[in-house]
Amino acid sequence: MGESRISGLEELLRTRVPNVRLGIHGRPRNPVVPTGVAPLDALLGGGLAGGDLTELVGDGPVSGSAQVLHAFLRSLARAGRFMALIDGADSLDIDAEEPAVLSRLLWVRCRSAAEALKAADLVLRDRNLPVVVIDLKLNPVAQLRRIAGSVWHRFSRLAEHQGSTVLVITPLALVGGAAARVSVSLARPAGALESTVGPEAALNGLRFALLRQESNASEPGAAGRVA
Amino acid sequence: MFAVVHAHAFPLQAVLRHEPGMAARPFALVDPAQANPRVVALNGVARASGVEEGLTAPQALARCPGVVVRHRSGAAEDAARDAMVQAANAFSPGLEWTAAGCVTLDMRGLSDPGPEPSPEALRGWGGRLAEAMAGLGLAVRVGLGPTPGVARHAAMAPGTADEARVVVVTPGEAAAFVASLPVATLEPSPHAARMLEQWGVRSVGDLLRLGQGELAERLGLEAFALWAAASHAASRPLRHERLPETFGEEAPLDPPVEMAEPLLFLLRRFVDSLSKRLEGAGRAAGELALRLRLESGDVMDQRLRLPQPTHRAEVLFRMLATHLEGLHTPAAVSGIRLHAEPARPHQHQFGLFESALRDPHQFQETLARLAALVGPDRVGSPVRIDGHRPDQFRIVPPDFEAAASDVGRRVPEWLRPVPVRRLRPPLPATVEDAPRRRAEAASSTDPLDGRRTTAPIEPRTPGRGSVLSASGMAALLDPLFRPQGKAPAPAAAEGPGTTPAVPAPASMVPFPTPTPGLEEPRVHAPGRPWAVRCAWVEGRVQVAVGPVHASGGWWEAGRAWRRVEWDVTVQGRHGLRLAWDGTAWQVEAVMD
Repeated sequence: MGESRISGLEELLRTRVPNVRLGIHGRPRNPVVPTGVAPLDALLGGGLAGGDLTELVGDGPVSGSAQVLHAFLRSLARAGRFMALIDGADSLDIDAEEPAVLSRLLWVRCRSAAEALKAADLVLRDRNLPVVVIDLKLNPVAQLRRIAGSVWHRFSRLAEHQGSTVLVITPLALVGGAAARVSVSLARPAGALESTVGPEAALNGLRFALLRQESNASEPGAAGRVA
Repeated sequence: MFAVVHAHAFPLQAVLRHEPGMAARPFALVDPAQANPRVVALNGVARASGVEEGLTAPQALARCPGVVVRHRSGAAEDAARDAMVQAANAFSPGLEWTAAGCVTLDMRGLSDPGPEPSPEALRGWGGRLAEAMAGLGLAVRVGLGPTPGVARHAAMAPGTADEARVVVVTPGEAAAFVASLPVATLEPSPHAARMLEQWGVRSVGDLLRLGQGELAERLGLEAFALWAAASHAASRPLRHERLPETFGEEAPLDPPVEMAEPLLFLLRRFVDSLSKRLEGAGRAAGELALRLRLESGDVMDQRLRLPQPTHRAEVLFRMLATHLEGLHTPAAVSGIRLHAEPARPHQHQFGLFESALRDPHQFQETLARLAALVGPDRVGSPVRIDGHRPDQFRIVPPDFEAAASDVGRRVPEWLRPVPVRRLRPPLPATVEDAPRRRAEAASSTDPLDGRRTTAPIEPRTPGRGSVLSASGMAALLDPLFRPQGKAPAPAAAEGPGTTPAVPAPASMVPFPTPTPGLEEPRVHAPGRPWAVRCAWVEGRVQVAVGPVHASGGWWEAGRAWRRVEWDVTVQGRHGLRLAWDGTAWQVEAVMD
């Protein structure tokens, strides 16, 4: 009933005012935060949406999401920014980062997804840290399935209110209402371990696919790849 | 001009200033220092109920059963004294603690209210002074006059504009004002007061008309003191008070409290008072010291350090409230003291391109809440412990102001290790390694002499010592690797070299399982992993990179360690980092 009325109104407006542009006026976009991974930034229109949630789905056990996370850490540190990492399974690899990066990081080592969400809520309400990463990649799916959809809605409102940029790393599509959802996977054969060490290793062979995005930076279905 | 601030019934106000609700109830103070404690101060409600000074507590209760009787508190009076002096100092640096609850201020040379202020300006200035005292919980009357004596008469004399908080006596009015005061204002001794009454001397004007000589002949030396007190022109130098550098509030709790709410209520008033005092003194609190006296006689002390010095009451109170949230005392609290360590206010010049914490105090509180949620050792910034042992770090409180800025200058990008995902604690694993002889043969072709070899392992024939199966794997796989609704990967997709499915054994074969006759007993490091079984994954190793040997601590007794690492892929989908510490295999990390 409501939809038909709206359709009728749209039709009437098109008839009476031929040049009218119909649509819902979106909220003004905050500045994006580059991730330091060029293909991902290109897919997202420059970086993660400021004041909103972005979901990075690590597709498969060896997806490359840890590499993206560490690249993001370094990118932020280079820009002189601070960030909070809500580590849902306490899995951050300290040895892979240099001290200058770690000194700009607030690391919250959680034991479960529920604990991580509580911690994320506290950090998002704090408004001191403009970038928050919630890493749930290693949390069991059973824990993730128990997360109510309203949690992400609340986080989205908090991020919008505080102007925080939130990246959620998950093993499966989970975050409803995210500004963008991108999947990352390893393009090379998983058995080719030799390519994960040595000079060519960093971000080598990652493939990104845009699953959903609110803005029109890239069309869903677009893909990027690190050569 | 001089100003006198007078807090009537100062011992009573010192105790009651943090309990405004008590003002409406009959309330009396007894002096515990006396052998038989008697009422030394009481409020108007108690006086109206028949209680008066000099009664013992039982007598006071007999006259007014509802009267609240408490001990006089020297600590509370000291705190109130400091508060009055610090607040008055914000108006004039030349001040004197004249008597209990009485402060005299020298207004000469002040830019506010100016060199020759009008009575209205003086009244406004005095009103602000009274307002500042009211903010500390003290009801005062301010008297302003051309001499300290006249100002004191204006502040303390009964019957002079009782309703007004500020009484201004200009130089031209001083003589008439003093003459109109009752002679009791001069506080004569009981003997002199009785004689003056017999003479019919009722006012100061009557006294002055007698003349100094006549008065001295009859009253002796006391006459000179009375004459000086009655003078409207005689001034005196003030005994300047040294500004107290302590900012504290203290109050007894009677009856003792067991819940946090009453404590928080009192602390809020403490913090408000301290905040005003600090602000008036141009200082900030760098640290808070909270002392709780328990009914059992014990004392609980806690020092709370502020991330940045501040005098903001909200910040100070939030810190205290967060502390009390997680505090459990073995007994009820019978007294509380809050002390603020003064420090210089923090001033920060923000850089144009530099980001800093918007609200460090809020951040500190968030850290405390996070620590309460996940544990204090699980929140902060990680700092690697120098050494070769992997995943050794400690957590320190974040100090973003001092964060290093030389990111990427120390380690070239091509030397940076590929990040993994650590498993804390590591997963115990059962690993079957290839026959040592075969592993040695495979590594002999490697130019690095077996240190890093990527040659694929030759698949074993089913039934020849293989203990793992693809069919038994699905039950063990964590849902993480097999999301709901996602079909298990077919065996064909696992890549070349996958172990064909064999029936799962009834029980796990304990590691190590050397093949008799083919293996040398392993003494130090086992050979190349051939198959892996852990809680997450089970299967045949396809590619193994290693071994990576590491050791350390051998120069200290009991701290020696030694380990061998292998990076392996299993099932074509999982990358694991296996570590052998000399006794057992563990999965320490997964590739991602």
